[in-house]
Amino acid sequence: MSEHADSVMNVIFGWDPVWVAGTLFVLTYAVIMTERVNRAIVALLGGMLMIMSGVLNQHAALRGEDFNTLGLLTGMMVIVAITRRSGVFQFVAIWSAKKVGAHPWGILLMLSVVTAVFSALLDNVTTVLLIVPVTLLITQELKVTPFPFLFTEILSSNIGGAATLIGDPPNIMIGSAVPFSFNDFLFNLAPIIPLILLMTLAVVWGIWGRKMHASETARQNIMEFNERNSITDVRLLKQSLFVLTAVISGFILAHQLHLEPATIALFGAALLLLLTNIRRSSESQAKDVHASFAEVEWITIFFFVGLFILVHGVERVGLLERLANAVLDFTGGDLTNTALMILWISAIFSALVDNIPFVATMIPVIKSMAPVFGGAENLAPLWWSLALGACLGGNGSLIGASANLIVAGYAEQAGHPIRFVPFMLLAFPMMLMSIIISTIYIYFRYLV
Amino acid sequence: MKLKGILTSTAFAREGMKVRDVFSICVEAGVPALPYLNSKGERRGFVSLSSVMHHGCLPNYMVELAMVLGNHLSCVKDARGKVRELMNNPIDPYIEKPLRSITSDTPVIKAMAILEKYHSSFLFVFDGEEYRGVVTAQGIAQRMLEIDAERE
Repeated sequence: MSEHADSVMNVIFGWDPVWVAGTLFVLTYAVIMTERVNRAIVALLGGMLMIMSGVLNQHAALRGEDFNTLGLLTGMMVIVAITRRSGVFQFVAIWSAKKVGAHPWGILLMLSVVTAVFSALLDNVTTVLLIVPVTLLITQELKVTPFPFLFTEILSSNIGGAATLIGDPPNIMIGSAVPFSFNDFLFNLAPIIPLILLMTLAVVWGIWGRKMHASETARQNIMEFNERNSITDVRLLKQSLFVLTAVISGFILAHQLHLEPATIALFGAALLLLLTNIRRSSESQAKDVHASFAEVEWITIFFFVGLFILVHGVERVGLLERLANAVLDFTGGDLTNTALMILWISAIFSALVDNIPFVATMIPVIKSMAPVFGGAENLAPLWWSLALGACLGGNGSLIGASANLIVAGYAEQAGHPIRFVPFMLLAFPMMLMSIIISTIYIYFRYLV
Repeated sequence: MKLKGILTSTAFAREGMKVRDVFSICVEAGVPALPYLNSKGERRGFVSLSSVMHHGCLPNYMVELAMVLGNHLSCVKDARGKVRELMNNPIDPYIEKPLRSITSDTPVIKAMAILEKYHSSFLFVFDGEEYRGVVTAQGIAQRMLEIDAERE
């Protein structure tokens, strides 16, 4: 179908497309925020209603889908699902705890750094699912309260995730829409992340770290843990590490290879599936491939599918351009004001609601600001502000990021509930501290 | 081959019973689970030894990291006291659902298929409202051995 045919709108009852698209968009976001219905269901319903109401036809809706985001997320989820079966992540976590002589503060420090590094390379939810059981086991043995450990791991996970293209969904979306390469994220965002992590750990040390003690016997129990036993399949470990290394190298060399991140991630997933299934019976292959695909977070994928259609709908009727103009009116069309406003608003917003819909909306808004700032190449400070604000903002409350809720759920199951208000009283100021550091960084690196 | 010959009759687990009572019935009858009745005598699920042991003694993180644990663990201190505490707990928080049941005229092969489908080692047998007992993988294996012995 031609692009002209895509652009024809036959909105039901001859209603104004701007009103229909705007109402659907606001209603869908409002229902997502209530968290009463699964977000994937709401986004898909909203997206389909955008088509059924005539704001978009199916071909136009497909143009809104970002294959790079969907492919990158799915490919990495498959790779991580297979790799984690080898036990390598638990090995690293326990090995690092033993490296510091099982001293509580040393363990907190090591697990936080491991969490941040894993989060930069894997998705945050997977990272915390791997680290939290180790943390709970270790704190049980040391007879220390797990809250400071879990609290710091939540913060580290969102901080680490901000460092790379693949660390957090907002970065994946931004990297796909602009497009920035893996190296662009590494050179522009990663340099500030160690400082934010360091400052966060300094505050944690001030609150809890200096009072942490454990008995010699308890520490000895930790030293008796055998991390080598967590490696359940050495062949799988070698295959997974080979593919993971190849995929990350592929991201770094993507520009030279003329490949998009989604292609690299999906190729890596397919290669790992091939390596792990070669010489198996067809029945065993089917079972293994089914199990690997079942571990993909389909809720997130379908959430994106619906969201892309919704955002494309409001974009086509011109609503997002109007929103961009309103932002520019407010900031006086000044790049510094606009960048810092995006940084702070995205941080506050992401602390209170899901950052994915916010970023999905902001991407076309920022894109449409290009003419005002002299072209798309001058928008870099706005993109980095959005990335830092959306990723770090997730630390502001327990509901700010999926990983936070996963940790809270796991801790509650283990008899160590993390309450919303006490968490926020500590986490929100620390999130603000990270945004102040980001403000200084963005200002001096891009705006002076 | 029908189930009638390989059933193990047991009592019910009832609302308010202690863990020790349920364990006693299971151990005596050699079955891994019992159907559970509420105070009105209605079937409301089942209770299994493995579930009580898992939820009563083992946090999930310990299960996940079972392979790396050392031989000295702080949680095994005062293990006897903890066991006595567990035995004295009411059984009600450990109830699982759904209660899967078949009738006593079900062919054994169908029972085996259901066991396989749900990765279970037991099934409850009810004829209408009447409880007949538990069929277990061990019970089926025993019947197979008997058939084999008849041939000899």
